[in-house]
Amino acid sequence: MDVASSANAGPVVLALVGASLAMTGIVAVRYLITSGGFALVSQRVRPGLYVGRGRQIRAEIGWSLLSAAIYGIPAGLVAWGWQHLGWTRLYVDLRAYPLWYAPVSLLLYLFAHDTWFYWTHRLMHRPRWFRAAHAVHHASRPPTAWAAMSFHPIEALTGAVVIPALVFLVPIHIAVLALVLTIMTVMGVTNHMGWEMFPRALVHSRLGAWLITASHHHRHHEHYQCNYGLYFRVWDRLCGTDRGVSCP
Amino acid sequence: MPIAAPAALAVSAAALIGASLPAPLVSVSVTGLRSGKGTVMACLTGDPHTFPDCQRDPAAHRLIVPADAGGVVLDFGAVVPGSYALSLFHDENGNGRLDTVMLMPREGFGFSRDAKVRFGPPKFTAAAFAVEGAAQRQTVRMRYMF
Repeated sequence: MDVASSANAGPVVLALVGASLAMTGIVAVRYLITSGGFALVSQRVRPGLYVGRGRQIRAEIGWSLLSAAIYGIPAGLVAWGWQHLGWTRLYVDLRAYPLWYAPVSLLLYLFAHDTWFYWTHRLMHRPRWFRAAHAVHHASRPPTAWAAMSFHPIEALTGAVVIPALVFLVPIHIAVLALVLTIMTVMGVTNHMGWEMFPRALVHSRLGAWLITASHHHRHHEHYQCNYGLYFRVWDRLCGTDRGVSCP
Repeated sequence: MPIAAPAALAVSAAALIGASLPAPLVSVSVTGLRSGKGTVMACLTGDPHTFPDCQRDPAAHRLIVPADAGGVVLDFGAVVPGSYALSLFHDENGNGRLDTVMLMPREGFGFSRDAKVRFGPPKFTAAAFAVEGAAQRQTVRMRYMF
């Protein structure tokens, strides 16, 4: 198929718009189910935690749904390109690469995303960028399970391009990609929900010292100028921005 | 020649309806089976609407052969000329169906022309090949998602 040929341009543009809309819908529904689910759990585990926060939560949901479109468009375009034009380095046959590569690709994706997030997040805390974009996310004081995608469109854009770009660069099995997206979704919600769901034995273990969960990210929302990471504490430790964990 | 004329007529009529030409023999060499467990279930259909699961096509050619890690050959015999697509899967546990986990196949699968699987199986056109003329041999490589 030749996308550039003018005879095909009409239907192709329509298909691309359709794919973007469909992916926006999927991202929005994924957000509502995950954030809604953890909000319900929060209500049971920490009754009253979100009481009186209706206004903040409504704002969080509004920004998050706007972000869903910004995430959905590039993801929809790439998904369409994979399906119809064979774009990306996604693979379906697990043995197309050595078996050990599957877990390695998972770590590569998480580490690449974490690295991108750490440095763009630090940029977002520069006064100009903070006022222009990141203040939206920090308007949640403290955030709730609904704040997972509560970003200004500028910031949402920096997050939306990561995975769609990575799939062109780093080979990944489709199910491993699904796992990456699941981890991204669950950690995005749980790191903001205001309480720690992982056992103390993990959070305060030698492994926990390198992993980011709610206890670590909550401190970022308390103090702003520390704990910038997404999944791992590697960059925070290397750059001296790690200030330990909080007790949400 | 009085005999040749009706024969020529018969041949051209057969070409038009494509039904009574000498039917080519179709066979498929299947490679990449990961084990000799269970069977290979194959389905060859000329009906785009019933591909890849050609249960609803009464004219489909179905074959079940014991799996062999060294590869198997599917012999469909004589097939009426036309455009066909083949789908097959490695029924390792012998339960007669392609097992899935969260909509993703747990058993091996393959398609003619090694048509690629992305969000779901390939379209008929991506896997279609012409059955015409002499005997023909296709090769299909099995893929395993997990």
